[in-house]
Amino acid sequence: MDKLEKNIFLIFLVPALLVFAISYGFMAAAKDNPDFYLEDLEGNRDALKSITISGYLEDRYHGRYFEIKNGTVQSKFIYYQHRNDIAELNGYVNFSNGLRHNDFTFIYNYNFEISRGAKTEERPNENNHYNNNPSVRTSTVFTDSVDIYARITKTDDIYQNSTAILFDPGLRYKSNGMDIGFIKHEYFDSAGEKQGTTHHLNRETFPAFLPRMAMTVLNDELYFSIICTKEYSGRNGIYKAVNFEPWWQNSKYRGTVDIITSFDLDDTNMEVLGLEAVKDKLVLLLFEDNEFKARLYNTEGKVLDELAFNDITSEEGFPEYQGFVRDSYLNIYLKYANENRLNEKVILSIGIEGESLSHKHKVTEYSNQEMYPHMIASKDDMLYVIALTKNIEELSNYPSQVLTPGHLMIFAYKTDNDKTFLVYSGELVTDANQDYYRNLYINDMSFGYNSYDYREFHLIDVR
Amino acid sequence: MKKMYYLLNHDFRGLYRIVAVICIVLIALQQFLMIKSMDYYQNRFERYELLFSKSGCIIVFLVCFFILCGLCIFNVYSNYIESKSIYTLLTLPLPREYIYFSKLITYMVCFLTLLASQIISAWTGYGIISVFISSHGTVENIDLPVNNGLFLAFIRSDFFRIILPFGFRSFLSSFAMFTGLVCTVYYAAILERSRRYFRFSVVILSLSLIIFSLIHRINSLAMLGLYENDYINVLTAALFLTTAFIIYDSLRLIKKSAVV
Repeated sequence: MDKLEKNIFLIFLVPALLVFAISYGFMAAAKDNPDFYLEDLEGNRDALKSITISGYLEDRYHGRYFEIKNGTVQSKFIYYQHRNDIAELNGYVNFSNGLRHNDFTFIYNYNFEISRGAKTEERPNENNHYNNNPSVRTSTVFTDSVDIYARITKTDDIYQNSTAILFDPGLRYKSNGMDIGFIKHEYFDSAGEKQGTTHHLNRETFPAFLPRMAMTVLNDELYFSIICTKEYSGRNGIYKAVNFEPWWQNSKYRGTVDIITSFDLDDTNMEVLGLEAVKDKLVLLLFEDNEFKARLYNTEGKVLDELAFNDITSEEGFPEYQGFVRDSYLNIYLKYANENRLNEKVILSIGIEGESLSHKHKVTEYSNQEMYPHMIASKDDMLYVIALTKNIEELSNYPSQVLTPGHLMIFAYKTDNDKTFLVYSGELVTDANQDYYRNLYINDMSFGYNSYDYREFHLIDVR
Repeated sequence: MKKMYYLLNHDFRGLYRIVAVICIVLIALQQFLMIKSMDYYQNRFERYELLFSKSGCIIVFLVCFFILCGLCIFNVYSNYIESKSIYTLLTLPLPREYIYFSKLITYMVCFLTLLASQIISAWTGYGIISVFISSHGTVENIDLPVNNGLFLAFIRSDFFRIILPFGFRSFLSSFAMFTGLVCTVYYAAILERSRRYFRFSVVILSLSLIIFSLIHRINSLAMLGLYENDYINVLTAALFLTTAFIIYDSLRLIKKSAVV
């Protein structure tokens, strides 16, 4: 006992250090111990021999960089010490309402205004003081015609410099009835003098698909077009953002926009779906008279070539679109929201050679799985699709689609004699799905959700 | 060196029983809280690191941590007030640095023991919960406990990332915070004993750096991270420099017999 007391310091120190040493040993061993393998589901893995698939499986605390080379999976653990270590934040470029290029983020928005000379009808609101504030009087103005203005904000990565473009493309939406509501606020000072009036579109009353924007970067310059359906009138086109101005600039239209080409929507039955830069050209994706077309432009706005797909139409609704540009290929994913075509997914590959377009691959898939493509790439006569799929059965156990685990699927298609068929499908199996178990049987989502708390696949690439 | 070793054991003998009790209470209480939290069915699907924090285990750790801080301060004062053993030590024919470093290392080992107990508690808790989940069949097609769950908890929990950092920069930062805190607590007691009240600004500076480091470490992975990547390196360097000054000044005060 006396000997123990004489060495009591070491009796505590050594086990404490051992606990740390064993824990670090355990962590060093465990970091390379996840489930991470490729499971073949259909066909032969040899179909992947000519490509390398790479990407990250990461949450905000750690990541796993992986490569599938010659059909073999290799991966490496990465510990994140700062948010800048998160691979996606440094590499991701396409947002739902904008894109990032050269340390700048471009975000689009639209301003809606009642068309000049349009019929209006003002109806008082139940409580005609906004938030019971006597200096703000509120009412609703209904109209049948709305002018749409495009706004693009350019911010640097640390949100210190923000400049903008506010541009009038001449786009208009005209409704058959007086059903588009604007919330009108009138501001008064303490003497009851009117100081100003604002109108904001009540989006719930807008009867059509709200416009979105197709943005792409070519030679470090931002080109854009407005995604809108055939219900819109006026003008649309391809535009180049030339100069952004500070947001406090006191002018109605800020910045400078060059019109590359312009279309009269009253004379044509045209719906713009997307705009992509491939090599030094622009490809406009559109429906004209309900028929899907890819139109090749140079940067002066001259049409160089056009490719039409008469079996892809917008008659039953406007599809969702995602584009992937690899080398001289534009790969397109189309998904219909229409009930009759809910399970239909179209994957197209268009080649751009010189000043001409060529049809490379086309696949139409019918499946009740939700599919979120990460990358579509063409190589010679092969088409590769890397996509996250979510099972309908699994969806029923979780509170929402985003909180349901997915499966990273790899599909390889081959085109022979103008026919494209599946030659391989496999799943990159990981234990990342277990991150979602905590959402099982939870209906209340009021506490919010941070996707970076879950391991997700990011920056998937095919070389 | 023998004298130093003797001193270390001498100082540690006065503390180890209470430290052992604190560590045992920490482990036992955390296991109890985690087992209780499993009564709520949905917690069986919860991640271990979230279950750990939701059940109140981090609060238990913090309480034990501050008790240990108080114990160290009490130990310094008891040497001067109760036993007056410090005056005996000061008359011994050994360098005064030995007296300072033996106390400092003793306190560090006390804190190290607490941190090790926390890790043991995490291991034990994970084991108990794994057995609990395995023995209570949960849902079809769901593999529980999850693969590599304890490792993921160590990697994903802000709390465990500070105690058991896995990256080099994070390790340096945690090491700087840990040594800085122990030196600062001891330095504060020395300053008070030697009535150098103005130098409490250094104590405030050191504690501020520790707090900033903690805030940065917890927020550095937040999506709206307001801190630049290299702030943590600057904070760690500043903390090491402050700690070096604290050790230098503590030694100066002890050598000058300014401590009464």
